[in-house]
Amino acid sequence: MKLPQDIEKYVLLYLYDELNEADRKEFEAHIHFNEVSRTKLEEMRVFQKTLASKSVFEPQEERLSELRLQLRERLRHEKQGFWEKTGLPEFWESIRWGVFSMRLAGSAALFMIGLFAGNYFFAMPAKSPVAEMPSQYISNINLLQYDPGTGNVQVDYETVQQVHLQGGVENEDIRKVLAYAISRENHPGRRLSAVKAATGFSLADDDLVNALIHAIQKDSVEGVRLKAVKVLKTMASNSKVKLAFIQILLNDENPAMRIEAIDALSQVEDNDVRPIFRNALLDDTNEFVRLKASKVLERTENPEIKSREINFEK
Amino acid sequence: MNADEKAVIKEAQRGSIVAFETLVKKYERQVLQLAYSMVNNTQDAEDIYQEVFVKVFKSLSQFKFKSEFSTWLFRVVVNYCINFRKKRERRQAVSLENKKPGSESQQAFAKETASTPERDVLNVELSQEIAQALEMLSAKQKTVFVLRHYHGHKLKEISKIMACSEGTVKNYLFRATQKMQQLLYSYSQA
Repeated sequence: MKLPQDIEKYVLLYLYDELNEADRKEFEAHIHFNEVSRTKLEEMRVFQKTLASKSVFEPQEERLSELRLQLRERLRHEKQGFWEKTGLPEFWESIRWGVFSMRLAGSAALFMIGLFAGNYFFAMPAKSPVAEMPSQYISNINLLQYDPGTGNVQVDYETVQQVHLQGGVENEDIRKVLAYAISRENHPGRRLSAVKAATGFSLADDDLVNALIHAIQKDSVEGVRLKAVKVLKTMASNSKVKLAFIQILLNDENPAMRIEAIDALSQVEDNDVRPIFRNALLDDTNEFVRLKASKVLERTENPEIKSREINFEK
Repeated sequence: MNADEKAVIKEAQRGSIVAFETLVKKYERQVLQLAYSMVNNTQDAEDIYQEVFVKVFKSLSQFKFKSEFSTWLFRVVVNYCINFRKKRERRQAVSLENKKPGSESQQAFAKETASTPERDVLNVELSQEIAQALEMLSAKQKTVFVLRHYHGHKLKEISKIMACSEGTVKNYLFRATQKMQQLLYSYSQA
């Protein structure tokens, strides 16, 4: 240690406890015998006391919450903005509508040929009109009734002509109409009936799953969304269904939706889902969701998670 | 960095706002305090809080776990504050207003935090003098001084935050302290 020319530096480092063990001992020995250095040390102590008059800014918890809310809004906006800036949505829409219109034109042409040929050769009505009429031809659903007792579904809808169908959800045509009704029907009561009618189908039908996810994310009626998430829970789980539940748990503002989502995810033994549970445990405002998350983590993970602070009075 | 924080950061890197908010909750107080110490104005500190966290969220994919997350975060805060100060100084240079920087908010803050009327008069005045003395330091001197003296970071940690050697940090601290002693000489003697 270079003393005494660097004494001021050492005084400072000593007071900030930044000297290593050897330097500290050497400095203390030096101070013991050197009055000038001792005076420097005292001066610096007084100066540090003077600095303590300026207290550190202590933000209020309420203000921090407000700032966090503002930040959340900005982050959501930024996230949305990024997706839009890429130009991908327009690109995707152009492809989708391009393909859709080609399909529509092709299907219309085929349909007309089929109708003409059918009338010409058989002059009999088709047994399964939906099989020949893809769901995009459905124009109006006039009646949709579900009987929970029998599982029977009755639908009256129009394509180029009114069609009447009757049967269970195991019927593919019925499922197509239900999927259409869930995602595109204007009348909320019919949407809800369609969602309820899908209850009986436990296998994962792609159209039906997509329609239910659409309803969960976009439907304006909370009752329809909640029923849709309950029905989706009963369907065979796949990555799409799992992702939908994760999104609900992370982003949905309705706690009832998040409760259904965490209940469904708790059945999934999957390492990818653990961080989501951890987030729910730390952040969710709903007590049941946090409790459920802690139980799943206790069951699946190491015990240290259990001892993390869990504030159930949040 | 513990395993939980790592998992949360990874989730935030995948775009989860909820996971990112977990990090915000953990560090927001320190970020706001550091920003306030650097710019000496509540409104500006809150703006910096917003800007820094948005910036961190957008560039989180660049965090490669080579340092502590807090070090990386504080580096963003410090750099942002230094640039902010530069811009403010340029604005003040062309402004006709002759106010002392941050004096209004410093007065308001000092009024909020002082606890007894007897202590108020001297403390408010001294607190303002210290804030003004801090404004006289260069950006890097002030950063080191604030991080070490008011936020308790060790010099080694500060060197990582500022991406320079520990020796350089010591020099900044020493020069800042000397300058502060000169500027506050009368108070030290009293």
